Order: sequence, then structure tokens, then C-alpha cells
Amino acid sequence: MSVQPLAPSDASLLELVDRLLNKGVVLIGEATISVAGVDLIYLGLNLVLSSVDALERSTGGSSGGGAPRT
Amino acid sequence: MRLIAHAITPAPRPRVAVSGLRGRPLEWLESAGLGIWSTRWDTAEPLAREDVLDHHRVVEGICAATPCLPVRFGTAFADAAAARATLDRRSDALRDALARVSGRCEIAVTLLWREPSGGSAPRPPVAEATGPGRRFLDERRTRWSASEARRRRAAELVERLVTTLAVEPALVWHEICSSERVAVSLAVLSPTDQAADRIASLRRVLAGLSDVTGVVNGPWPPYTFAGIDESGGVSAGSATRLPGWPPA
Amino acid sequence: MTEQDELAELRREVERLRGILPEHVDVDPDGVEQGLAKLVLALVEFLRQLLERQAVRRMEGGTLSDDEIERMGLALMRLEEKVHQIARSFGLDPAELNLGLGPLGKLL
Repeated sequence: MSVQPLAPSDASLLELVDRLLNKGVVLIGEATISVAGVDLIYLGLNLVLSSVDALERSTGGSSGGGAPRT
Repeated sequence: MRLIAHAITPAPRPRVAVSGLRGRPLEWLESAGLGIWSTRWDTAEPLAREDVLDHHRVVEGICAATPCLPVRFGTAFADAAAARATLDRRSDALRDALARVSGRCEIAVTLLWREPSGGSAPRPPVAEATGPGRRFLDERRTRWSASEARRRRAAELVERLVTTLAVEPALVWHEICSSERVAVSLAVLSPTDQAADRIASLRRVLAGLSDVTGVVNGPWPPYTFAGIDESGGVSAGSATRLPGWPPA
Repeated sequence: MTEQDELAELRREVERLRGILPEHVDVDPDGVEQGLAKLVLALVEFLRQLLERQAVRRMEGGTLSDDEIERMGLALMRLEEKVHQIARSFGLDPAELNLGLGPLGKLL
């Protein structure tokens, strides 16, 4: 694992991404499907393994926090 | 065709000032006194990583206009009928959850250890003629007593933050030591008109802490407090950790 | 069951865990199996760490001989090497195998 110090903006971004991918109301059992490009695998133990790794590689070290995009 | 869901809000349809993902039209579907906001999406089109943050922009825009339950990113309905059926089936739980978050927003606190873990833990003296197996177990013992000390400290920090916030426990969610680097991750559901004061007082507390560095975020849409459980009740967030991990 | 019997059984569990892992793994370079491998290895890692903690508690309990501690430590050390080696052969960083880490953990 990296031992570089984490900038506050990075911590903010990661905290936000955690919210976006892992929180919010979950509507399982509806006609919900995973959309191509984002794999959401819900296991019986309510473990969510998402393609966070791909997100990590692209956002690691980037600045900008959670500023809304226009 | 898919409908990528962003948030659930009460009917009737409020005026919302944001567009859907990638600037596409934001659509409203209604049933049982509730509505779902979504972006129409072609089945074959993949979502990109930028869409995750764009979803946040959309949810923020909706939350600015009306009580709002963020939907987990990536939730998609096959069609309008499927979306309406969900609203019908879960309307009671969704209404309860909306009442819970109405007029409130989320404030997030992240505390990171200043020192890398184990960096300052004193090494036990190595006895003469100690074999590699013994050294391995000694190293593990040192590592875990250090991590246990960290857990105790993180729990103290949570107590400190909760005391500062002076809110009922149901409005706070937290997780400690979710990684080597993160001491505390905490979310609080706060009345929107008190958010600025709460954020300021949390930042004052953080400024006084020497063993962690931290950041306060918000106001955010109530992601952590939007949950409804399988039976339709209301739950605060959904942990991704297995209960009981790490093993004691 | 005596202390020695329990310890012997613990050590057998450790060695059996190591034994169920293949010696050599042919990896699909497209990583199609990687997700499943990650889950399986995460479970093995979970068990392995559980056994490590049991062993340390035994050691701290003061009832083990130096020889028993040494052999237990070696068995656990070899098991860790094996699991991490297999993880790497799947292109996985062993640190990713911790099931208990939240998303922030994975991203750090």
C-alpha cells in the first residue's frame, strides 16, 4: 500500500465515493440490473464489491474534491 | 433502454434545476405519492467513472429543491412500470425514510492517522537464538497490540465527536479503523439550518487533535441515512464490513 | 482434550489450509477468474488471520514450549507466504484480500 500522505481533498473525494457507491437506498429485488461498466455484486452477506479499483486508478491523487460538475 | 435512478422524493413533482447524467434530461416517474428521478440510458452504453460524481451533482440538485432519498449509484430500472412498481411496493418504508431526512443533510467527518501504523511501536527485545517462527509470532503480537491501541483511540475520538455534536445516537453513523490509514469515518444527519454551525464546531475540534488529521465535508445529501432494510424498515446506511471483523 | 492436543490440531488446520491451495496456478490473463479468486483468497486470508490470532493468544498464555511456538510460527509463516504468492499470481495485491476493509480501505 502507498505510504504517501493523503491530502485532505483526496480524503474528501474518497469519502464521497464511498457514499455514492455504498450508501443510498438499495432497491434489491426490484427490476434492478447492473449497468454495463459498473459491476455491483451483492453477496448474501451484504458485501458489495464494486469496480472501485478502476475508480481508484483514475482518481488516485487527483484534486478537485466533490465539486459538482456543470 | 434503462432508467438510471438518482433519488426518490415526495409527489407532486417539484421544480428541479439540474439536468440528468451527462446533461441529458432528468425524468420524473410517480406512483403512490412518491417520485423517482432518473436518466434514460441506452442498454448498450457503459457507465463511466465520471458518472459516479455526476450522479452526486444530480442528487445535490434534487436535494436542494425537496426532501430527497438518494438511490445507490448504478441502480437501474428496466422501464417505467418497474420503477412505479418499486414505489408501490416500498411506499411505506420510503415515506418513513423521507420523513427522517426531510429538512436535514449529511455532514461527514474523516480522520486519518498522522503516523503510519506500527511506525512508532517499540520492538520487543529479540532473545538470543530465536527462530524465525518465534519471531513471526512476536511480530504479530506487537502488530496487534498496536492495532488494538489504535482501535481504542479511534473509539475515544468518536466519543469526542459525538459529544461535540450533542445529537441522539440514531442520527450518527460511524466506522473506525476501516483501513491502515483511516481512524474514523463518521456521518451525522443534521438539520440543514444548523449545518454550518456544526461543521464549524467540528473543524474546531479537529484542529486540536495531534495524532490525527481530518476533514469535514458537507452539507451533503443524506446518503448514509437513506437506507431501508429488507423488511421495509428504516436503517442507517449499510455497512460493507462483515460484522465481527476483524476477529477479536 | 489437552493443551497439546488442541495445539496439534491447530497446527494441522494451518497445514491443511496450506495444503488445499494449489502448487501452481494457471492464470487467465484476461482476469476473468480474478474476481472469484479474490473472494476465495479473501476467505482463506480471513481464516489464516484468525488462526494467527489464536496462536498468539496461546503463546501469550504461557503454556507452550519454545519448540511448539517455533513450529506454530513456522507453519503460519509458510501459510502466509503461500496465500500471498497465489494472490500475486492472480495479479492481486495481498493487501486487497482483507474482507473487513471498507471502500476507503480498498482505495488507500
